[in-house]
Amino acid sequence: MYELKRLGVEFGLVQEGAVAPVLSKTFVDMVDKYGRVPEIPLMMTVLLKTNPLRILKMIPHGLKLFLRGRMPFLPHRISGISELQKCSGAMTDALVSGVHAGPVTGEET
Amino acid sequence: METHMEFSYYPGCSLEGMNKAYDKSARLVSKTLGIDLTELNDWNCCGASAYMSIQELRAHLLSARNLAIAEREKKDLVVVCPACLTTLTKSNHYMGEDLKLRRTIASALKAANLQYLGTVKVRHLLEVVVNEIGEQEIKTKVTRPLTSLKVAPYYGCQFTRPFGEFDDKEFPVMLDTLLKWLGAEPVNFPLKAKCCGGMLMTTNEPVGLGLVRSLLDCATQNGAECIATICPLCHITLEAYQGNVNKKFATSFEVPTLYFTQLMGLAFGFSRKELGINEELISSKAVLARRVEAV
Repeated sequence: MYELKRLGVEFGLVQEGAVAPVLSKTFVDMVDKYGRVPEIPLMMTVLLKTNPLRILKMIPHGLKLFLRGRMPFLPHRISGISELQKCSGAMTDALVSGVHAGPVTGEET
Repeated sequence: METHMEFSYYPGCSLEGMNKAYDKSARLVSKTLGIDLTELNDWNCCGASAYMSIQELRAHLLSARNLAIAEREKKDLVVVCPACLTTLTKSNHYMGEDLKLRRTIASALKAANLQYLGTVKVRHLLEVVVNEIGEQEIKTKVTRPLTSLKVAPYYGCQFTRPFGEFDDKEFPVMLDTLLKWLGAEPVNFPLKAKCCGGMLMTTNEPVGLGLVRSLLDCATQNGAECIATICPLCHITLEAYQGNVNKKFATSFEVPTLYFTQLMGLAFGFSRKELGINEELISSKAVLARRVEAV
């Protein structure tokens, strides 16, 4: 199922108006940027991109959560985000260059 | 002799936001039981299914960084979110079984002077509490039994699936067992491992609302006064969308939802405030006042 989803994204075979691909893409972008997923900014961004009017419908929920201290607006960026990006970059480079990784320290033979 | 166990603790993104009470109560009851949870230093998102479904390799890398940090601390990793449990465990399994993947990830981690040798086990707090602490010790901590509180034990879809390493995949019983030890009465809940809709509330709300309605129907028809959850996403879905369900289906559900750690904390004598029980969207005050002494 995931493979079909990945192929759909890769070849642009995405149903017009579908929210799920927007959600997945926004989720990935936020993890890549912050290292964590800020729930409220994620929801707001997805709704802004797909159905801004629905934000109005969400206001009562949001207000209830806010009044109970359950609605942080600001995303938290992990301090190791550059470390994570470096690892991700190294992986992409290796895949692009087609060089297969060799044995690693501690690896059982 | 008192139990003392040490774990790295991975709260997951949800517990930083809408589900802070889960984090608060999990830490409190763990400490009471001698489970020492040290938050994993600078953990990153596990990626959940959203990341894995479109960026598989990088999703494994996200998990691997967390596992590498836990391995450096020489401790197993305790999580409270079943989605984090499944994602981290999946990467652990795949890296263990697929040499090419293991080498690819190891090579990427090396860019940040990290390494993961595959020694960390990922465990859900519920499983640790039931399997490691056990009935006798938990019962000695119960100072305020949840006598006759009728609870629907809700596991959601990712606690035992796909791996099913510690409970039945389709019909888990671990939470039922724990609730009995606390003095509560777990009701028959055939939909206990069915989906709550989760992210469908964002992508296809009508379908999601139908799933929530089924769960609420099943729980109340079996006499539940509240629902116990072990998943932050299920928790927020069940409590936040009851109003929408009522509007769409002309129903009148008002079923409080509590994390299993909050119910444990209540039974151990902690106050509602200490457990974040005053933060829920559907108040449990009346139900708890009826069933639990001096809350």
